[in-house]
Amino acid sequence: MQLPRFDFIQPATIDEACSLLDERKGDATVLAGGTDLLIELRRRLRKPGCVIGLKEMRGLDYIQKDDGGDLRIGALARLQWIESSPIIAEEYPALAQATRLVAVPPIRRVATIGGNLSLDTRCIYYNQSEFWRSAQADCIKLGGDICHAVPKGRRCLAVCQSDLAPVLMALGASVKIVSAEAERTVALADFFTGKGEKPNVLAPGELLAEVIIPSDGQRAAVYEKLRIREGMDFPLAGIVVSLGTDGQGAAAGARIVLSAVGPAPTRIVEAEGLLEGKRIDDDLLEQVAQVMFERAHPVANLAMDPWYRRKMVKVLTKRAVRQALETAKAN
Amino acid sequence: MTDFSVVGKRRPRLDTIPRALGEAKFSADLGLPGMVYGKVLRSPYPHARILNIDTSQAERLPGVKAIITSKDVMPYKWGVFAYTRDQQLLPLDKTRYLGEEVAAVAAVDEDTAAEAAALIRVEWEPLPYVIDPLAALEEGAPLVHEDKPGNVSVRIFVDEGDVDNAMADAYLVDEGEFTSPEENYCMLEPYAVVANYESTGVDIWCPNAGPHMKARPISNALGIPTSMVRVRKVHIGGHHGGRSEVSPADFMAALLSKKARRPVKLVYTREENMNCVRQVHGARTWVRAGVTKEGKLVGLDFKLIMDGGAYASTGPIAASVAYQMIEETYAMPNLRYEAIRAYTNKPPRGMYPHHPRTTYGGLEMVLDALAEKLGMDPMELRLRNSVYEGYVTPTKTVISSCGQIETIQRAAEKAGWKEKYGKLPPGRGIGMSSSACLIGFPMGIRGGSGAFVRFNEDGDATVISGVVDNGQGNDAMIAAIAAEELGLPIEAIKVVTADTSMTPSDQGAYSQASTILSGGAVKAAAADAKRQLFDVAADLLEANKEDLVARDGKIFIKGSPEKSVSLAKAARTALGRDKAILGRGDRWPKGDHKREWVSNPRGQLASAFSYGTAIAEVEVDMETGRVKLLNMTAAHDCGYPINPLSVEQQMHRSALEAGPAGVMLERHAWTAAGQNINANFTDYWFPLATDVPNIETIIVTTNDKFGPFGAKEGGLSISIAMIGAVANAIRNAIGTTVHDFPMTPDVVLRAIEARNESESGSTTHE
Repeated sequence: MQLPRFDFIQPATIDEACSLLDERKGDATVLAGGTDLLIELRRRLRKPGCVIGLKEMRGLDYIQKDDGGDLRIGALARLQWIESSPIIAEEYPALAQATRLVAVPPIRRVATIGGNLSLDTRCIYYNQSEFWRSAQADCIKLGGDICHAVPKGRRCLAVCQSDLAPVLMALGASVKIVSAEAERTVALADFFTGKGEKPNVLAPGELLAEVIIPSDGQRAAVYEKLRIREGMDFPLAGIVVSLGTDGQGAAAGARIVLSAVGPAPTRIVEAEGLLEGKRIDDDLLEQVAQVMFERAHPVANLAMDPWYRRKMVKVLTKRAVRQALETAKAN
Repeated sequence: MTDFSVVGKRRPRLDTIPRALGEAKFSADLGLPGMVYGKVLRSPYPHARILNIDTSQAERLPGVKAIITSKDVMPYKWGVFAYTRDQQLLPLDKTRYLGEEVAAVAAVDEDTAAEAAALIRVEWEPLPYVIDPLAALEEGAPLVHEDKPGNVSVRIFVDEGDVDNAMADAYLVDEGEFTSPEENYCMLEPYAVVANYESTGVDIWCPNAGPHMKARPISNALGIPTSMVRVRKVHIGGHHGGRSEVSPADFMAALLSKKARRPVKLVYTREENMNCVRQVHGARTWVRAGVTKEGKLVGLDFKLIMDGGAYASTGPIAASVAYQMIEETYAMPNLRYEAIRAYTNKPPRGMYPHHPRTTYGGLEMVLDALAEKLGMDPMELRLRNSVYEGYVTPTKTVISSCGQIETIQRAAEKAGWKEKYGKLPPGRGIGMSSSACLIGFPMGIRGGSGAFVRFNEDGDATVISGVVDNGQGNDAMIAAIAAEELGLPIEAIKVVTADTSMTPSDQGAYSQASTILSGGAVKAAAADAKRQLFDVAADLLEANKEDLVARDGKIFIKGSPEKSVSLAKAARTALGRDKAILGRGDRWPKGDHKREWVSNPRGQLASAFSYGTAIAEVEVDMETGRVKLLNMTAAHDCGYPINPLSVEQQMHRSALEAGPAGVMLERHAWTAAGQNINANFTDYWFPLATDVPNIETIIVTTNDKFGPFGAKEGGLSISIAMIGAVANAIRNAIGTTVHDFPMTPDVVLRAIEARNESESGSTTHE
């Protein structure tokens, strides 16, 4: 399939990009790595009048520490840089690990962290060609009022498919959003809306500029990704556990994120609380896993049975907690 | 038999270098002066009557050069057999699956063609539809074809011996029911056609498995003589059974070109290539097997329902081959087999190397269950029941050369079967399976292959054959056979293949017949040319022509290579005497012509049979159900390896297609509205390089009497055997049979849970 017609503009600076976004508010979309956008354009899932190409733009392609010790990653940093960055390997190995689980190496060489975080939610009834969709009524995500995945469903439950979002959320990251008028920083937990049809808070005219990860001390984090093949696949479910220890082998400050079973990655505070200050045994693991299981409500909108995806939330939670604790103890 | 100078040597395929250099052109790369671009309008309903098609608005769009609809076509229906003609290449009255062709446009570019297609107004009357083959066979189900009552596309029934008695007398009987959804061929090259219709005839370039098999139906559909249809191929990016038949795209491109009076290029999208070409049958197989106390099979009983989709395609063959391969693998006197291929409102299903996986894999799992109950090593069970040279199957086919036992023994040795079976740690498993593969069945007047060999002035030879190379290395295969027979180095052979205006008819790359038929024809043509050269050389060498041999470019008296004359000199001398060296040969399958798939399934089926044994080892994560394939071993009796490298490649291909793909991953799924939900490379899972372990290959030789230089076929037995091997390895690892293909983690986990439940259930009883 060919691309639809649109104006293509390549700004040289962030300011230019912002004023373009402002001028073409609501009609423009930005192109970074393009690994997701191009497919959506071909399928006519998006029909922007203007595509703003960021390839020539300088100023958002860094991975560096700031004076306060936080890590700042420009939105245009490629995934391949992240997986091979010495700072990230040293201080946020879970981020490098999760990045290596995204798609395949050729895609990671062009895909960006900004693109990964603002990846549109996916649904097997939505991510189809124009012809395929023409054979059925428009769903909620397409502006209609029905859901093909959940009969009588009134909400869009298309799934967040970012591998980096749950990890960054567990690392306490936030994102900087810029526009022609203003600049704001939003905790990642608040970046996602939980709405399948509009998965993040980016408003027309706004550009995701930077990811900020706080210095994390001696914590350990583990990402368990459910997928069928050894590469390529989007997550069918995801669990991130990040924690430290109190020195006596008990968990401290745990953050647990449940991902790829709904429109947004979500911290499950109740599960985190169960771990606090506890030594971990099989009973506790079972309790934590049970809480995660109860909070996971996948529906039949990916290429795998939701029964299985939900069940795996439990298994992967146990594995992630165990491994995170082992790593934290070793730190 | 081992004193060959060309065959039996490892060498790259003829297309390897052009592909590595990026020189290889595929159909979609071609361009002709004035060429325009096609786009197809497709049915958005699984079943709907076409009430009216209004193209007036589309015709007015600037840049549109031609539009074709059912008004432009003759009522010709395509079918592989006279009794299966049911597919109008552009439907007249109604569409039978979601995505079926309704109209096509040719325009100055693809965008304009797509825009015009969207402007065509079709008035539809949606009809009740049926997606599930079991529902299709129920009384009162919507009819896919009005003249096919009960939606029965094909029924195959074989009942030899006395199965009921055999089962009653058997020491042990076991059974199982197995299911499988459709698979996709996933050729990397989406279908593409370039057609140029002129007053003198039509030229067509497209991927194919036999250009001669396409030319005839295209000429019929266009209403012109076959001699006016020139079908050619350039490089082909995959076949796997899915390029076997004429495609509506061939016909539509030709008709658009006729109407537009320009060359037309029609390139399918990935979605079209997955949904609107052919697919692999979904199936449900019930199988029952009985054995004696000694583990001898006494009978096999099968019932199959196959989902054929909207058209018959190769239905009679597809519904038959499983029992045939099985009776050519296992010696047993009693066989009952009933297969019903149902019509449904889904894309039509065609040929595939190993299907249905439910029949092959299901039987192998039942056999392993029987071996377990007998306390017998599954390898021993297979050794005891192997067919042998001279064995006559229940449907009266005589087995020729047979290396099955050697494949079992050598695969077992290589894989360490004796050391591993029954001795692996929990969660690990090993499985084995063997299979025959039939080679070259009669296909009527188009079922044979012809070849020419001609000599150039410099002593090089050109081989002209209808054989098509779509990845398996057929071009290199015939070059090697010609070189060996003529006594020329392979570099001195040029091949011209797969061009219906230039090359003699060929049966196509079906039925694994290319080596024995196309290769056999080339060998005969080369021998004919050699005889003509020997006439001249006998003069020059003052020798008897019966005493001459040719080797390494020279002709000499057998045993005296010091006195020789070059082939080049002999060829030039012939030309000087007003004689051109032109060799001809043809080769036809050895089979009983009265045997018929449906009406008379008895008699000699095929020319030869290859044999293979596969062994796989897996590790299963018992909490997630995820199977990791640790290694695969394949031993294949190819008769004689014309090119061992190609035989190994074919074994790799077969192992990959059957094991990680066929057993573990591949499936299509459908919405209740009849829509294929994963006709794309994101959601349709096939194995990636990282999912495929090391594959060990072993070549077994049996020197078949029918095949050229003893050769049979390159490795297809493994595409059957590896299904059972991987399925049995999983069974061995988890201690229970998995009944549903593909064995994705969710399916495996359900089987593990069911086993756990039944075990804890029986504990409670005790």
